[in-house]
Amino acid sequence: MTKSELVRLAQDGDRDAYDVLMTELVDHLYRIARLILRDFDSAEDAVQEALVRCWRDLPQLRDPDRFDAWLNRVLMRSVTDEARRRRRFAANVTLLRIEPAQPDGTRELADRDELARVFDRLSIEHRTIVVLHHYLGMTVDEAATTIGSPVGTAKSRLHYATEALRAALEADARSGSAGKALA
Amino acid sequence: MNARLDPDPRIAAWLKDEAPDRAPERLLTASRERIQSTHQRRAWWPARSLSVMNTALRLGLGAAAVLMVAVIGVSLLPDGRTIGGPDPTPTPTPLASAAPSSAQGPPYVPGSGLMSAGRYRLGRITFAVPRGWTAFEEWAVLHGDYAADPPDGAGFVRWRIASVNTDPCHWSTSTTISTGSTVDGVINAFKAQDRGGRVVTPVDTTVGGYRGKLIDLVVPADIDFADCDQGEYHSWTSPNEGSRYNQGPGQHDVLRIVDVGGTVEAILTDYSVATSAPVRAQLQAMVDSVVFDAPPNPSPSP
Repeated sequence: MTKSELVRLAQDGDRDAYDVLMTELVDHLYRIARLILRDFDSAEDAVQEALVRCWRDLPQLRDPDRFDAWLNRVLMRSVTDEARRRRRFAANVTLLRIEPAQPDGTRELADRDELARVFDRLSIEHRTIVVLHHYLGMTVDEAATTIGSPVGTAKSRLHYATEALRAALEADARSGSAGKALA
Repeated sequence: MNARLDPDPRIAAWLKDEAPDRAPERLLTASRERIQSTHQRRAWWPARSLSVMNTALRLGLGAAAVLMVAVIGVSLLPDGRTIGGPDPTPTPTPLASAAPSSAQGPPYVPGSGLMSAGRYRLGRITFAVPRGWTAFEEWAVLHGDYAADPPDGAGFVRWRIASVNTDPCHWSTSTTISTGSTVDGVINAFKAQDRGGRVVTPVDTTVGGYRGKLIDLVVPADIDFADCDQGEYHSWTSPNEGSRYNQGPGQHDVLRIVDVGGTVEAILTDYSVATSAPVRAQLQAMVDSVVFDAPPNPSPSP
């Protein structure tokens, strides 16, 4: 059975068909939520909420062939809601960052740490656009449609986030060169 | 000349490495349980393609849809205005009589879920909640299904305000103003807050028989939260409830600040540009129903 056929059955209230769809999609949804939210519990909550909203609102999807794009939008709303829900209460909590040790000081590990450090500091909107574009391979137009923002806003967010990540990589490369020069 | 580093391949490779392989099994299990008790929302338009219908049926459905959109559109106009007609007076939804109660008085606002209509407790206040509102973390009441967000969200929350951020957009670096322990202290703190040039004008109000001031704090409509610290807009902080974080541009935070026996209490009702007049009227009805516990040294206004 094709995905479109499963979607049509689920739209008519077939829970078994929806279960098949959900089982196929849950890993993909979780990866995206986990990358954006950077937290296991939040990602689980966001995906669970997205799956429930998807089931609830599926009859309102006009074109079953557009299911994937529609589901991405549902997920983005759940991810944003989850981030805001957590923030509302976590705003006064100062998180103490424990800097990870660098066991061997290799370039690759340093890059990864630096990227993670800067990525974690980006706003939820900036992390979202980075994941949609660099992980899911969406164009800026597609990403803008998915998050429901003007193309110019999506473009500016992607530019800002990419520049921040580039600066992190360049700073890391410079410190690596300096280290080598001193050695 | 230094060539600029192209970060795209490294970002993509890093994201691929960071992504987890699989979702935990409990996620599917928990989702299945919730879906078993979740009803689908039927679409009011035909979900299927119209291509198989004959022309007459298509035209008929099209005309019906246009009429329906027109009727719904008029009924959902901001502030409930009709086109070219007078402003109708919003009518609050009657508060249901089936109030949950106990021998100890109204129950506390629960942690989650759609609330039964009736009287509830939030801290030292009790108030009446109409049908269609959702409990949020034993702390707030939101309209609909956690729909606090623009364009049509609404919420009712009791706050204790300790300090105000002078710049809510750049809250992590802006100075804060302590509100002190008087109504005027809170009002003066908000007067000093940067609201995109909009002046905060307090007006007299009464809540639960206690006099105070009402201010309408509007998030600038042209602001992009992505430009704010951590992508968020924080207006004030509380000793216990954390920080007030707005949900979007154009949102109204209507604060009623009253002195209840020497303690400053703030009742927040928030709504957005497309929040319907009936929902706003329900917010007003909730405020009108507020009763404060008697303070140690009661001095309510006459």
